Amino acid sequence: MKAKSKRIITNHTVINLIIFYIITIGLFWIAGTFHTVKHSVFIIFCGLILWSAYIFYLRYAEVKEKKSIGLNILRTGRKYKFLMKQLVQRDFKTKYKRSVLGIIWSFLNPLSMMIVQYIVFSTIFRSDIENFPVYLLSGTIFFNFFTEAVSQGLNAIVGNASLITKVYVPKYVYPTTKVLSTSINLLISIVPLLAVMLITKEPLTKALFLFPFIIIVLLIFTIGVTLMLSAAMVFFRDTLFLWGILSMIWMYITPLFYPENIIAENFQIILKVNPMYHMIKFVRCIVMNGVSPQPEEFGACILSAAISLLIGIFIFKKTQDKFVLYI
Amino acid sequence: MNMIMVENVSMNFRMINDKVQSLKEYFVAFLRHRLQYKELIVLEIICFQVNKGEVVGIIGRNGAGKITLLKIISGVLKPTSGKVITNGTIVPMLELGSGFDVELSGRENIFLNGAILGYEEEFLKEKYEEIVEFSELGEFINMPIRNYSSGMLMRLAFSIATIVQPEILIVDEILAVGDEGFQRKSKEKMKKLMEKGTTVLFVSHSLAQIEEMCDKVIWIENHRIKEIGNTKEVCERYSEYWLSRGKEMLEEGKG
Repeated sequence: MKAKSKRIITNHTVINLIIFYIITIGLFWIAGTFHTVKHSVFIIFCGLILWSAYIFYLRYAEVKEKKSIGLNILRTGRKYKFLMKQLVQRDFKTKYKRSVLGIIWSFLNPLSMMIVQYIVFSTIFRSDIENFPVYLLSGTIFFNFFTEAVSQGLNAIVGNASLITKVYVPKYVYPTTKVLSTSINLLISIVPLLAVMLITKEPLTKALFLFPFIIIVLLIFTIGVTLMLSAAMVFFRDTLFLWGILSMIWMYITPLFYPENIIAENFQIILKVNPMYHMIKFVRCIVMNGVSPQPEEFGACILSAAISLLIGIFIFKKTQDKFVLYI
Repeated sequence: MNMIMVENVSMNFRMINDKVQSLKEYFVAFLRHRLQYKELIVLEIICFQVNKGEVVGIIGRNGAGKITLLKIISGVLKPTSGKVITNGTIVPMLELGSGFDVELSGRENIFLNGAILGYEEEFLKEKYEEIVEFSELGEFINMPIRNYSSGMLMRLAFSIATIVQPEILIVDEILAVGDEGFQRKSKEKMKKLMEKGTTVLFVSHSLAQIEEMCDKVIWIENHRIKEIGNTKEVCERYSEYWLSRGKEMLEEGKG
């Protein structure tokens, strides 16, 4: 019997990867991330060379049967794409099953929350934030996505116990798909955000083209946290309750409904080390200021996502073989 | 050609005497030095090989470690020591339908369960009609499966699991699915799969079934392989063993 080996890096894949690069750079270009023309030509050109060099390295690695992280990602991605799609569909279909309003809840939830908070903070407590509804909504939508995805993903391993003990599927598939299916909700709730922006006459600028970037970065960050906590959940069921408290504290230390300058100078460090603060600052920069954020902000977001994912993968990998014995 | 090679596989479960499931309990137990583990041996130095196209039955009493062995081979459990090498696609049929979602319709569940078993999308689309036909569900296929009877569920699960021609099939007593008619049909289907060269690992308590279908039998007793070999001989000795053990146990009971 011959070993079935389908090539991963076909011409088709190469074209796809190049297109991916062009789209990414295109979005940054439109959003005005590159400040001067000279600057941007330089970055685009170097990036293209590095990226194609990497693709050719992958191709070489595949032929020589070398190990490479990129190749592994592509391979498992292809293998489990259908499964992930099915699991995401299941989560999404069953979420609003047997509810009367169904998918409309995805619009109503963030809107109603914004209205309540708006009434509370603009009448009872006076705040002098410009265009407060948009300020509120842009923060809460993204923060709620984070907490909801993590709470859903927490149970992914324990909740799928009956499957995990019977069929071999890489276990990270379960928490990851939970986060992905929650992200559909995030995409939907961007619609009310845009609507509120239109109503309050906030200009829609080109900077909004950075939305895909920040969403992907936030997704990666969330997947990392979910991997950590879903693994912890297997061994200690207390994780669920601890997360409830932690997410509440996290919500209050992130400037969602108060301006960030009310935090005293010596406590600013709390903001600096809070990844969600950077993410939300990024969102507000593109939504309310209409400009591409500073490079440091890009750096802070990417760095926190990368660290979270690496820690998540590390903990998950270390513990996953013991899952079956504890669930 | 060897499809499955099991080399010196041992499996120990570490049982904490009191199941500690929260952080506080853990710390309290830890501080009192009460975290005692009890090693529970489930499998000890299991070694065997299965050739392509063989149908191998596994027999033994409850708790002998049969299912643990199947789970190790299918990759769900990692053995404490030793290793398992398998060549080819494995379809495990341990407790059919564990991947079903009751809120979804039969149709949606075919795709969900198929994906979990590792089938490809195009393949499922192509075989969809065949699955529905084999399961005899007809128009019920578009209903949420929470309305199905357990027989209907099992029929659907069996139809999904056996639609492929897997290279290795791992089966845990599922031939008793559905009514008499469906049972016959499913047996025929299994036989057809075996004729086409699928390697099958088969756990059953029904010696009649084992004798009918298997080429080779592995008898596990006290976590070790007691005997391995020709179906007829092993089955005979197995039933003799239980006949004498049964008498002994009866007498012990009387005494």
